[in-house]
Amino acid sequence: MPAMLNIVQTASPPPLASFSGVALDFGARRVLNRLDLEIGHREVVCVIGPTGCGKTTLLRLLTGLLKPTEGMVMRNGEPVAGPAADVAIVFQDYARALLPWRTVAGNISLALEAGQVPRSERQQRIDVLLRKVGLSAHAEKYPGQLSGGMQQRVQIARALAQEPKLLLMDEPFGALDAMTRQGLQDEMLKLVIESGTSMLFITHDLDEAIYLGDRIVALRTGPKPDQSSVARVFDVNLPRPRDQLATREQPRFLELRRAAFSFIQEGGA
Amino acid sequence: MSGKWRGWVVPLVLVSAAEFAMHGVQSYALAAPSAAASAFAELAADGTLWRATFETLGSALAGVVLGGGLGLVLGLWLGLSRTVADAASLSVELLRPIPSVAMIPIALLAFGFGWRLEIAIIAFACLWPMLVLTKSAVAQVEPRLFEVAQVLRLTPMSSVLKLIIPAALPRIFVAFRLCVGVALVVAVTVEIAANPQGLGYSMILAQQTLHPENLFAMLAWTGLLGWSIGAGLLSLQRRLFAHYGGLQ
Repeated sequence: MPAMLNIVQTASPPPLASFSGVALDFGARRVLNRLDLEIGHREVVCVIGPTGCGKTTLLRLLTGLLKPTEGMVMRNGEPVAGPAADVAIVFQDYARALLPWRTVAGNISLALEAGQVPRSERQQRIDVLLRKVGLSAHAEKYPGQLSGGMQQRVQIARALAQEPKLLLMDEPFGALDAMTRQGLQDEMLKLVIESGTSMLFITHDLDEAIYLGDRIVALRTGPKPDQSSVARVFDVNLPRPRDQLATREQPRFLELRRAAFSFIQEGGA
Repeated sequence: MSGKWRGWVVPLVLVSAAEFAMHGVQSYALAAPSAAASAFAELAADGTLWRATFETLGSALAGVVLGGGLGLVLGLWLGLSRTVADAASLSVELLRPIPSVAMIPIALLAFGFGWRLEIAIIAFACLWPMLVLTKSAVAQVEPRLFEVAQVLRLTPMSSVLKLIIPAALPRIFVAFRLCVGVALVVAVTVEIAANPQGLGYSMILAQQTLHPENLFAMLAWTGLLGWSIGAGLLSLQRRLFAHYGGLQ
């Protein structure tokens, strides 16, 4: 088990975020049930599971946009009351989440304006963020002029502008091609580790979950009243920094991949 | 012949046919295109044309600004607040179908002849399409943007100014274009029906003094104005909203 995970589990301060006994109903349908989950500081937790298992719901509970029907969702030991400045979210549908009438720099600026960052500081912070996501040359372009991968980088930069402690990623690379996706996975890991941010990453892609995560949480669809939504938790235990070729060839990676695949095939999730 | 010029064939044939048919004919109802053209030159030279044009376009513009502006504000309000929309919907549905020219008698009593009469009726005519279309433009704003506003913790005021209005703007501009068209139609109608000024009144005057060539000159000019204003606004729209991507 990596050292940082041990610290998280033994340290006395409350976890960055936690769910205890959370249930959520949409009308008569129970989407999440008896959900217990902690997200530690500097931890990357990936959530997998079939469509309709409540992955996005789980993430929205952390933004406070949704309230649980039962149980508690906590941040730093306090119940989540609403969106917080240090919780940022990256949506899958970058084309809808960006403002088409603002340039790349303008889109990033929106987060700074919302955070009341004085005008004089904004430009410099935008420049830093643009450099981080490799878009310095495209600051004055409009989202419609960029490729999907670049648009998603804009959204990531806007999320980072909030200087989040917790970054919520809702299948962020699901709409991108394989090469772009791998590049963004590596950049994301680098950014998250550099800034010491925790990340809750939702994905359909098991390989992506294993490659990115410290832990993988598999959710099940339609939990029975006595069942938890969490079907299984996998500890990844792969060394960092990770490498697209070397990491994916490690026995531990293949072992996890086999376990997770057979788990899903058996309908466990 | 390229497609761009093909559209001119029919009008040119019709004008030539009219010229040929009217050759040597004396009429109090019709005029040859050449007669209308020389009447146009005279009306332009003595300033009648420019004065009438100024009166009609001035009223139309003032009416669009007043009625469209009020419609925009009310439409935003109704679009943003469910409660307000519910409270206002019956009143809007009752007032909206009233033909704007049916307001001429009341407006005459209130304002008498002149600018105010015409502007008030144009404003009434522009208010409703602007209100209804702005409300629906707000309703069609991408729901994801509201979530973005919440997650970034934008204040309600900056959500409206920085997200909702810009997102609805292309559709609001379409409503504005529609209002300009409505305003021109209503302006000329009010001038023909009641108000002794502008292009509409020039046509009535030409009719009553048995000068069909003046009538046709004014008619052609009015059509040309409407077409060029419409085309101008369309190209402005394309330029303004180029970055929004296939919305129209």
